[in-house]
Amino acid sequence: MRTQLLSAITQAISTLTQFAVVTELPFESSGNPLYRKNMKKIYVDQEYRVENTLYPVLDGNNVMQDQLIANVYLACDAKNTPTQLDSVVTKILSAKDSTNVVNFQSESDYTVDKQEDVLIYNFEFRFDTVKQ
Amino acid sequence: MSYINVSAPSQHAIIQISTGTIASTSTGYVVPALQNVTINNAAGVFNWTQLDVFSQLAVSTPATNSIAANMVLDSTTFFTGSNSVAGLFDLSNNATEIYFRVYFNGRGAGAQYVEGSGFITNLAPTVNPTAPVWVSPITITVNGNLTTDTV
Repeated sequence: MRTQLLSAITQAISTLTQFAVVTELPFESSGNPLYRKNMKKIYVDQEYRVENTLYPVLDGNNVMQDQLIANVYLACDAKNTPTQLDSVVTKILSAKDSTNVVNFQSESDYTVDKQEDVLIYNFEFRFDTVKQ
Repeated sequence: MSYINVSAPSQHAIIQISTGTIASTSTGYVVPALQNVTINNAAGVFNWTQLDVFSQLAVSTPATNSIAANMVLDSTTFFTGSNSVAGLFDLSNNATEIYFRVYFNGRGAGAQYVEGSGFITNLAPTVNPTAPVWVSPITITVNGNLTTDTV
């Protein structure tokens, strides 16, 4: 899923000149996550999954729903916000519709956190799939 | 007090279906992925009143029996069938009389069941975007008596 999401976001923001997608995972370097150090770079984290019962059945072979979740990070200067910031947020959110991840429901949303003079956008993508 | 435990994997409630008399636990096929099962044995009663008795009087009339369940559709069981028994849809669509057993908790030795024959009705497969797996109710309208027995 991370690969498809990376590809979809790369394609979605291809017309924006102020931002770029990075293929590295957003690990920490010297106590700071890379996205905070490299502002205006978009980092896609490894996905994780949450399994829930969609239909409990008597024979124990429950129909399970797997929710694939991935976080995407972007940081930028809060004092001089990029002019394309609104566009990049919209385009990242809309990338959920073009990932080609097999799903029956996809959602994306984000939160914004201010750390000193840096705005940190934390996007969350959720894809619901049926586990066979 | 002895509860009837229906814990999977070996003691769950089971519906077994065949187009011929069910001779053993392996005759025909088992309907998988049942969400619930209800055995209806609605004994009929006719009531009347008469002037010399201050309570209603009653007499029994023939019972209406049926087996109702909800299931997650399995494509083999629903369309293809197995063990020389057609799928549930064809059995319903062709109004084929079927024989059935409803095991209360598994099919091991000594397991209790209710059996009879009847017709499959009330199939209504449905699906929706937030639960994208086909599910359907199913009813077996019983022809005659239900009987009980053990494996």
